[in-house]
Amino acid sequence: MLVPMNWLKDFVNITKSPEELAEILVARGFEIEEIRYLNQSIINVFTCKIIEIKKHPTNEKLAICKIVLNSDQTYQIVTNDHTLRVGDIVAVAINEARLPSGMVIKTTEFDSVISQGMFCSAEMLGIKEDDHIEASADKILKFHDEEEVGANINDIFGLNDVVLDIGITANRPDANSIIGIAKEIAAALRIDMRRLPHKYPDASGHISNHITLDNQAPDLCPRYIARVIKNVKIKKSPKLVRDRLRAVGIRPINNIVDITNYVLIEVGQPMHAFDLERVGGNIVVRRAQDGEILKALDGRTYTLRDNHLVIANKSVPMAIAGVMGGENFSINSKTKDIVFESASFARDSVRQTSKELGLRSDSSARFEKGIDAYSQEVGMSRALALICKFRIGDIIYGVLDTLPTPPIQRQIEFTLSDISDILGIKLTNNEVVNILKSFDFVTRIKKGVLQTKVPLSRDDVSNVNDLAEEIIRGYGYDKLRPDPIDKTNINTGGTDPKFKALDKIKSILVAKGCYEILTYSFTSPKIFDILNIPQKDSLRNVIKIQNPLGEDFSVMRSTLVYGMIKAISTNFQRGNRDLRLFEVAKVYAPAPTLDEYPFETNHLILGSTKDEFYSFKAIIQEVFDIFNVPINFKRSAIPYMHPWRCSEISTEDGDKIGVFGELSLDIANKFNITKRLYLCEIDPECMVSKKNTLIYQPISKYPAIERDFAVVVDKDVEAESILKIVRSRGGEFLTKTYVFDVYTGDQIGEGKKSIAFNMVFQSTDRTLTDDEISKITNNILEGLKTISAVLR
Amino acid sequence: MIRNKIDGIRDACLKELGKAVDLQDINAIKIKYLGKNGELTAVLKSIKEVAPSERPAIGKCINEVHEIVDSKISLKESVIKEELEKKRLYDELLDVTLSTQYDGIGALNPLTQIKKDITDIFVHLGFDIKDGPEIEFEYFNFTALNIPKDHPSRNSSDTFYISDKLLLRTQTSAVQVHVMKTHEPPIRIVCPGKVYRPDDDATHSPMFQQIEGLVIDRSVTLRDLKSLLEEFARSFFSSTTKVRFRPSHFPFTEPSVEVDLSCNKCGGSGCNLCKHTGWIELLGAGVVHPRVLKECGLDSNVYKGIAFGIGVERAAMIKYGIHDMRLLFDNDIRILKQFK
Repeated sequence: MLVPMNWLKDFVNITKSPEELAEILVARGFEIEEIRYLNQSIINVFTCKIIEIKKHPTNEKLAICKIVLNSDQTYQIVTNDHTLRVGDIVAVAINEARLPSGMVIKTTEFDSVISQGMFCSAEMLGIKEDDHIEASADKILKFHDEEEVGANINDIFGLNDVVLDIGITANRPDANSIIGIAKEIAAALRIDMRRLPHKYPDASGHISNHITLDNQAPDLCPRYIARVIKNVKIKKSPKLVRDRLRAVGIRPINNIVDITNYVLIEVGQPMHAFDLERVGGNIVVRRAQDGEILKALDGRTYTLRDNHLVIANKSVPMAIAGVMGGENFSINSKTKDIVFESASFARDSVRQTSKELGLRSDSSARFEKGIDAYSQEVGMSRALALICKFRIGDIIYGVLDTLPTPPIQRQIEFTLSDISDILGIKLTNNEVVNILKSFDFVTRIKKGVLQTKVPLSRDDVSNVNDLAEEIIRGYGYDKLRPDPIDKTNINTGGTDPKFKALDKIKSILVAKGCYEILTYSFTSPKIFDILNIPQKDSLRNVIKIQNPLGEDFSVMRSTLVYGMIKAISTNFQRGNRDLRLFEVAKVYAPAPTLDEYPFETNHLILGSTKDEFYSFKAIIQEVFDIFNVPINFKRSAIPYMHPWRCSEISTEDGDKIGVFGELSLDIANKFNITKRLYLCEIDPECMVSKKNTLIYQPISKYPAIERDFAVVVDKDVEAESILKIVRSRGGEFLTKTYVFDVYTGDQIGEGKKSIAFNMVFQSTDRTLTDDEISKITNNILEGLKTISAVLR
Repeated sequence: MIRNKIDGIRDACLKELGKAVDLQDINAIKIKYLGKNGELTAVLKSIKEVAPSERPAIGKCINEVHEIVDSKISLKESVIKEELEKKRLYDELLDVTLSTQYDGIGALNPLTQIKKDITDIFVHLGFDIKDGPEIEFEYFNFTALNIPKDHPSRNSSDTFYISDKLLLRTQTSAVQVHVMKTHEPPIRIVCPGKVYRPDDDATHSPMFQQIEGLVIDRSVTLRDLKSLLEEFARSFFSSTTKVRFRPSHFPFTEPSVEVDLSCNKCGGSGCNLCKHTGWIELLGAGVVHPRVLKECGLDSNVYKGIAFGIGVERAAMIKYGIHDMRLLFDNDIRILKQFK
């Protein structure tokens, strides 16, 4: 909210600088977004009088003017405006003046004639026609009042003010006004607040002779107050009103509309004015009929529904309640008599209407934040006081009010210990009572129990915690001294082993030279086509976001693979080609019904352009080995991978837990990934849930004996099928076996390959003999015959 | 006679030894003089030709010469060996200023590191780590946290919806509710996790991470909150970091505070990072609203609570001097490599 200092000074005597004031407000819970010095954009621009005009000696397009400000000193200004006459009062920029554009005006020569400044147009000064009658954009700004000669432009346009841009939290709609902020300042500085006279004389007649009021929707309109003013003279508002409205970003329109806006800003109560002649004799507050239409002040026509509240006359809607008035019922230059509205509308109703119609206004914004029951009356009387002060019209006696008796003030009972239980500080009765008093809370003490009455404007205060907040705000948060923490009274924390396991997986990968990436959880539904995922694949069963930031972020991802490909691709575009990346994140799948939590599962994705197939596989294998979880690789078609270089990963129980392989060349090309990209996506749950059953194994004192064999098999026989036989026939003494060489070539023969493997035998209680080992290896070779493996 | 011969052999041998440059020369000398058919050996063999009375003296003389020659040879041999070793080592000289490219360790994402730094501090202070679903029911994300039905944060401009009831959680505070409903106090938890809001600019990302903290006990106050957060601030930044509370408003806490830390770059004197205020806004906190306690089945006359929520990205931006949040989701390896 924009708050001009000069406006605040109507209510509180402020001797503090804007910066000091900002600090006080911050300490009270009001953030200061900006302190805006209005006079900083125009410097050294004044009104001056032209006392002589001469022709330029060499350039006939130019004229030389002699001007005076408020002293005898004269200045010489060269201009190309030939409409200027001696005696004109115009705006001039002199003495290194600064214009809003940032332009600095210095003394310069025009064809050998010195010009000590420049005449300014309205446009140069950022002044609009509304602000000044003579301000047609490109012409030199003219004035008519002799007394204004030598005046600073900032004074003339009310720019000698400082505006605080204050953030108001949602619980404090009462502070959303000049008076609201003034109250806070008064409480903080412990000074009295000046209350503006809200008095006005009623003229003759009676409102009931002019209109009736019928509130048919008290649920959406808790209070509606109407007053009639006759014989109004529609014209420009006084300068002060216009200056202040401009300072808070509101365009002055005419004296009536300006008063409604002035009250909105000053009191926080939105108001509306109708042309009485157009209203006819009746004001009806009711729900719209489905399909009713209204042309609003913005010139657009809105089709209303039956959940929208309207202010109607006998037959048609005149305004969308709390949002915007209708064009045909608004104040215009011919308006004679008016009806002022000061009402309270339900905030969710206004919000919903505003949202459904796509129409927002200063008024709807206030109603959405909440208007308390107290401010309708204050707003109305302030508006009428202004009508009276500016002699705009005759205020007709009588008021139409749908809720003439004010609501009862809320009372809260509490004790000092209630407050110290919340705040952790001990206060006396006196301190508490005085602090509350500074916020207009009246407190009585009865047998140690405090009873405080909450001001009607403070709808947000309803319990002891709310009061505790007021008290600490008044007491000062800076006086809250921390206690040292008693560390002897603390348990050890962090007990969830799941986090430890995931951290461990990440640390292993980091040690293996992988970098962790972070990608969005939402993705595009198009990725499944890009990844060639079959139509019926469960990966396509995704959770959709109703209101995504765009199609690319519209579904919750069911795989991490696309995010990895994108991250690799982005890096390639920037010339980073050696990558070994990983991410641990959730994938999502819908539950059978929308009443259950969807499935969220942690996945691990790895991507590398730095490895070849087997070195990449070794990284994955090692992670599982560290957790002592045996896994199997089995060649399997993965739609987005190289058809002969991809595998399914499964546990010993045969549960499929992931995929591994090389990204298909087609897809890699689409993403400009010009190296082979190896990918692995797994569900790490089997590692995370693995109990740590590590038990120390003694080291055998007896020698290990190694044997190397090479066997020739058909080319499509997988190494694993050989090792499986070796392991199953190796007996208790076989401690390790692995393939160390695979060879194809002329010596082996077409369609064949040689696989060389090593076996280690060891006993924990004796040295094994050659005979024993030969027996075992013969048995293994016998077994290998079942897959036609021949010893080389 | 024979003595002359012995002396002659000695002198010749020592002369040759003086000229010896490598082990081959030494070997040749050994063979020539001390070998089976060596000159000195020959003299020894010829001792029987000497008169028996002179034999002891001559024998002694030969032995002395033998000893001298042998020790001189050994000495020379060791000198040569030493030089050879020196030379061999010199030949192995390496330029220590040369390096090969190493393929070293990787790194956790900077946000993971910050998240871990923060949760570690609270784990040391006795907090358990908890997590909860990212796709949450509006009841847990809003209603149970005392966020009214018409609160703007429920708008589709502020919350991603899956259905009328399901949404992407906008705050990790939702986890509080689950924990309070299922655990008996005392409760001390931190809940790190991803949260989502429809914003995307230099200081907002539609997905970001928060760490929620909650303490529920019979007696816990706003002052305890300040003590706790001061302890945290000192561990996270430095031992001189100060904490400032500013009143604020969150529906689920009352009183609510914004928590500022004294700027870790300038120490509070004012700089670009803190926009010359000396303070940096890092988190929101407060005393748990009695309505929240009640909604979660706790008697607010018996139990009190304090809660806080830290933005992980914001903490990272402050700690590392990052100005654009989008950089943290860029995944550019040149950035990731800086966070080893």
